[in-house]
Amino acid sequence: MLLDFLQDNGGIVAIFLLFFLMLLSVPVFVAMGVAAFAAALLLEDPFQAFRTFINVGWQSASIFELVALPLFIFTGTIMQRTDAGRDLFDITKAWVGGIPNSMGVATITACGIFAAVSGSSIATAATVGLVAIPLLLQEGYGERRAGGFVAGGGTLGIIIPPSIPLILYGVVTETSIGQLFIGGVVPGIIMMSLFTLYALMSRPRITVQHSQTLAEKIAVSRRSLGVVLLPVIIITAIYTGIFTPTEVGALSVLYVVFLGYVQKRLDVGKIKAAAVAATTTTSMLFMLIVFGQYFAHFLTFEQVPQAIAAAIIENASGVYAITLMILAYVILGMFLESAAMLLISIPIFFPVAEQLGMDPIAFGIFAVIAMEIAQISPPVGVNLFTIHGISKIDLWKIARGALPFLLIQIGMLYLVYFLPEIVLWLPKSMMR
Amino acid sequence: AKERLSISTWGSPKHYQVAEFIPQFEKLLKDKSKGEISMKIFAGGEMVKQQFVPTAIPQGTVDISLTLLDNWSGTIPEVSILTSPLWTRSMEWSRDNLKPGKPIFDYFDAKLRSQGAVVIAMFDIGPPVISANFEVTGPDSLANMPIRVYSKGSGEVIQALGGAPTVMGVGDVYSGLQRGTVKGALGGLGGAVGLKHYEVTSNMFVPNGVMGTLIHAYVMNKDRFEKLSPALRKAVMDSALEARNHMQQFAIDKQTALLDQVRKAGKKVTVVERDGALWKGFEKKLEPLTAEARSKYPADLVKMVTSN
Amino acid sequence: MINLARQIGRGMTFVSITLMIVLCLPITYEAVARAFNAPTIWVFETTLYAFIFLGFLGNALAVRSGAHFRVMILVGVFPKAKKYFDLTAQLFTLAFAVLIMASGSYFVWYALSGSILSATMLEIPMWIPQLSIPLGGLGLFLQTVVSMATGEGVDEEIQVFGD
Ligand code: NA
Ligand code: NA
Repeated sequence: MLLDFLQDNGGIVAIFLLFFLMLLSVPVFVAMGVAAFAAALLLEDPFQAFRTFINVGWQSASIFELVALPLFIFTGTIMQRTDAGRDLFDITKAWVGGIPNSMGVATITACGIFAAVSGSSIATAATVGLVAIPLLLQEGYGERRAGGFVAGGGTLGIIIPPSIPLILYGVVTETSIGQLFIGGVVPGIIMMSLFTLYALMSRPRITVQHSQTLAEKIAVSRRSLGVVLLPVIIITAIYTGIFTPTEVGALSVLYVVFLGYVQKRLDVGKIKAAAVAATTTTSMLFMLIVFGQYFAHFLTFEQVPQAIAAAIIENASGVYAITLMILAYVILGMFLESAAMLLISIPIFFPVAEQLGMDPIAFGIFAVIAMEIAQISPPVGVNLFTIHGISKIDLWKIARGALPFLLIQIGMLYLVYFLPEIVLWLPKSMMR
Repeated sequence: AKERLSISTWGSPKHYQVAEFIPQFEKLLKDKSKGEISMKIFAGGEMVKQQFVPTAIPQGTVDISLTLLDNWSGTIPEVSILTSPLWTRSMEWSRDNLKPGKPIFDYFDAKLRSQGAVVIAMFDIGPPVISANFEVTGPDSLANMPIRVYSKGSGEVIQALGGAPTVMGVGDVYSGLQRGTVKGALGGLGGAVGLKHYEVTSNMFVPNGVMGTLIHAYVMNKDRFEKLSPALRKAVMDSALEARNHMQQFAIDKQTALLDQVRKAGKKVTVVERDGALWKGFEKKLEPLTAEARSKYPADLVKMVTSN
Repeated sequence: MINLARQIGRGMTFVSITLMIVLCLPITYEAVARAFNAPTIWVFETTLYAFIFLGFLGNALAVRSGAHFRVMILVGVFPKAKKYFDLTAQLFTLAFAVLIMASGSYFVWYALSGSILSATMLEIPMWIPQLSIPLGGLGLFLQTVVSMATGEGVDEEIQVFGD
């Protein structure tokens, strides 16, 4: 009886096991692999389950587009060790120093510029945060806002290209990574503008002036030029498409190494430390990708996503279905790490989005904004952990400070659904 | 006992190799097996991606899959003869000869069986074309041009013409052509039109078979096949053959319409006429590769491929 | 024994870090070579395999630095039971590492016994890149054993990796 029930619902068993194992604090990639493998053992001959495990694992690992991943991660870890954060912050502070809440605005702007170099929210938040948080605290923004600005602004790291999650999404859904990158530019700029607007208006107002003379501004800008040029180079290279995203990743590694040596801020020890950090992150993501895809493969084979998509479409349509999806993302995002959430949710929600008539590129941006929400929503949010790690500000305080950013992001989700042109216009203009 | 077979395809689900085969096959098999066999269908590489079929089918990841035979070159080097210039058969010839009981089908079926897969249908989706941003006026036009290739055999042909075979993911071909990452891309006509490569290229070169062709197949896990009762095995083979005949004819009829679609988009289409001057030029340029193929592949196979 | 396990983990870490540092070189070479209409047939495949080695062998380092993500909600609710949660997580990781090693070894054996080559112009024997799987499983297993014996990488707070 029980066995029959379990065999008829292999996909549900796998999902249940996954959440059970995750609650037991089993590492997420292990939980995904074990859950799908155990459910497969229920359904098929053990040797077949064993062979499928390794075949699918290998197929999920050998995807050339993934090679871009370590390259963009390494670029970020090198920049962290060459004081790029200070350069960015100095230059933004120099140019916006005269306005109210100037330090807050400078923080968001620095995050936006760093986002155009780094593919990760954590790196963006950490790099800018290390410099910005002490200064924000010193000027009286308070711990809640100081932490919140950087945690929120840091999420720009994955919407403004390059973006590690967009690479993952492109790989899993076989959508062009180059076009996804370009699709993130306009929504990224809109989001950054809204963040800036919030930073400008947040209370209490801080009116400490940082006015500098034009000569000083130019001096600061020249000193920081190397770092500020990189995002321009990266976005141009991706947009004109002279190089593939992977090649842009390789070239930016060489660029930051070269720059670091020219500026005398880099040595062999720092490169090694940057490589250690990048390897750690790459391996962590790699295992999530490989076994996340194995889990997704099992669900797809059991036709779970198809069933869920059909159920959502039958019972809700248009804005209700989207709201349902957003709700699901917000709840999942509270408890799951963002990359794990993406890998678990895409196979289920991608068919729903297709049914709702969303373009795969627009949905990619949608999914990445949902990930940003996951990164700053408590209790599990990597940006919250990052800021807590570097500043020791209380986690819940940071989460409260990041709440306005989270609300803006929910608004952005609807915007992308109702007005996908903001995503699609730029990649389409590139087509001609 | 009821049987449920999983069947997987890759590439566009609208391509005739999928859209004109799978629905027919499913319906025929249901009828011929008297409802004993039902199917679970997966498209677009969601189960097995193109290049992984040669291990995934023998290992039973899915029961049946679409495959490009040249992708089996890692275990069956002989498959590359199909992509070599030795292969100059027309699609009509393939329609009548790539069937169970005919020598070439049986030859490759035996080869795949030794690897744990059974060929249930074999067909010619049409000679590959080159979507390019330059005009091919003769066999020397490809010299030094980076051209996207899809397999080992196709790479060797481009290399023999002096071009630079370039490997890139299927998803990157469109943008690669558009941005000049590659100057041209070799691929099936159905795919090139379906994926709209003509939107980002100025020319299409149609070798019409002087550079080999694209033989695809549907293959089934051997253990799974042999565990079926003889009656069900026959149902599978008969249904596959019938669906394949329909699809092969559809593909033949569709070639002209596809080329017209490219012409209508204002692109220059250069077709190599069989035994015309252009054909002879390419034949001559490819002669070393043809000669190499002649000596490299088993004599009996060469005979099957070239004899009248 | 623990020392030996740690040494093997260090060796794997060394290889993966080296791959991380040099990975950009062949890709840049390819980008430049293609600009001169001379693309290679080896960069695409070899860098992919290097990346896969990097990902699997990097496990030793990832375990040692506590980087593999865990959901700690229940641990937060029952802090006194933390050691049991840790033990559960470690035992499941060990079991999974065994599955990776066993299936990876089977896959390598399959490629070796069938003399499977990559279906590309490069024709690389597939057992070579596939060897990364059982090795990665071994690294995961050994480093988890080290963690269980010494506590390394277990009590690390969520770390800030500058990814
Ligand atoms: Na970014
Ligand atoms: Na969260």
